[in-house]
Amino acid sequence: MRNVAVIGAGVSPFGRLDQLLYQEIGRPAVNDAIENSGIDRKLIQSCYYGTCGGVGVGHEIMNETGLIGIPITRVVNACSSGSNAFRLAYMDIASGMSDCAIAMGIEKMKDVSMMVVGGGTRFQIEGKAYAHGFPVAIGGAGGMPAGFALMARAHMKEYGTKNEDIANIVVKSRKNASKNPKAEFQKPMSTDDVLNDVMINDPLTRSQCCPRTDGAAAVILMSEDWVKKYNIDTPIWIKGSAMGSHFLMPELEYHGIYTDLLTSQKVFKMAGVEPKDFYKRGFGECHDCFSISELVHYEDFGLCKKGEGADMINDGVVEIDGDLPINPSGGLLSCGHPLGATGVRQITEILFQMRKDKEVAKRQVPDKHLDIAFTHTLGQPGLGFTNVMHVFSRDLK
Amino acid sequence: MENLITRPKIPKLIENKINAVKCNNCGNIRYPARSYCNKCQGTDFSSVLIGPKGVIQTYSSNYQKKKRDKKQIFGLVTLFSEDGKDSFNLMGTFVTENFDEVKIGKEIELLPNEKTTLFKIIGD
Repeated sequence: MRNVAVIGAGVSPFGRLDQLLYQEIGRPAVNDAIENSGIDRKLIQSCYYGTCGGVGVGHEIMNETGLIGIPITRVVNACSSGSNAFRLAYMDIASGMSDCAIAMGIEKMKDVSMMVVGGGTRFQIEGKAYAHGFPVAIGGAGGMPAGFALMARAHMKEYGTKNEDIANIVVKSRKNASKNPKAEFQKPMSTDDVLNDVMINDPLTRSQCCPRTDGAAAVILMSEDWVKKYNIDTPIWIKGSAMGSHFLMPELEYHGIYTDLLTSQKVFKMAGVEPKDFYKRGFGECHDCFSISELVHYEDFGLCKKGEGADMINDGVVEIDGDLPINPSGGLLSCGHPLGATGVRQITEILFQMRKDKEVAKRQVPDKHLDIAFTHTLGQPGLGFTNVMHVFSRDLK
Repeated sequence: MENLITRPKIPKLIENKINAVKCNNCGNIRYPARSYCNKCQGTDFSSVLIGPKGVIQTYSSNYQKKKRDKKQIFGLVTLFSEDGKDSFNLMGTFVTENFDEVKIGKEIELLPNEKTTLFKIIGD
């Protein structure tokens, strides 16, 4: 396997962008990524893009940005579509097939049916078989929020976690997003604001559920040989890449996510790091699709013991100026969650932070934390789980 | 060649017990029944009936956009076989609209229903 670096990144503003075409959302992200990588776009040899709803939009955007003619692959893997596209671009270069690739994520959520992404297709296939075993009768805002609400209550009962603890995840998210002009929600919220918001699935209120958002992000990847050949400034090296899957039934584990545990162990091993290494010298972007999910990710990644996730947020450990900053961008809860774009957006944050780019000037993670970083997405295609994690480093060795 | 319809055509419920299969190699319970074990990839299964009694592991309620929307309380329960040797986690809806009646650890009973999974709360 060859060493691969991320050398450029671009991200569109996230929000409700109904009036814009896919090309209008994606083109600036792609052009920004190429521009700040400092390379000639003719060097890009392949494209992988994640999107659940945008059929063929990769071709349209690559055409508009002068990249048509290269292999273009659409990746559909629910909330991990973007990170999965990035992983394929990484594998493309690591294997020696290409020396330079672009990974893009884009979504307009009006084109995405969550009933199809999150279970509907299975129901059509399985028919009555799944009437027993999955909460088809939940109705309302069933599905994703319902599943994580069950997790929240189970965690509260098992470990004494309080409503306030998981609400504080949102408070931290909004605080960070108030310094991110591209986040959908930038207004700070108090714990009471979060708890008194509209109830979706008890105990999760509206602001504890990430919004359906439109947006795009893109990153440029390059082989070590070409990084040297083209004298790339400040490459960010990919030290680990891992992906895991699991099926929701019957092994429901409602105090955490089994695949988080397995995937994090794999990616940390590949990168030669341990969870404790991220304290004092690292940071991360994780899949906070719901408030409770960020809290259980801390535990499942081994960043703290099981049941101690609430201490991470209440003691300020995961704040930008804490011992292990998590989601300095504001995460999914505040940036929003365009399914295909999220995984790539997380990587743009890692690159901007490690490069101390002006893009993140107001939410810059302190110097001492910029050695290593991780990203994590949790996709739920149908009734399955798909986790994708990456570890990055400023140093090649 | 494997039959395109790999799923055994067996009833999902027998009275109010779930009609599952147990892997004879590793003991993993599969429901609905499948041809392969998803833990050890074994293919040797025995039938096992689980339920109707179980306990609540976690629960929540639906989002009621309008006041007239029916409140549904749903959750995850662990059902046990009559001899207590086997258990299986199952999601479903509780037949009550009283949120205070539902608590983690309370005993429930699976109701016979071919279309959806319904639990009746029967004790503490």
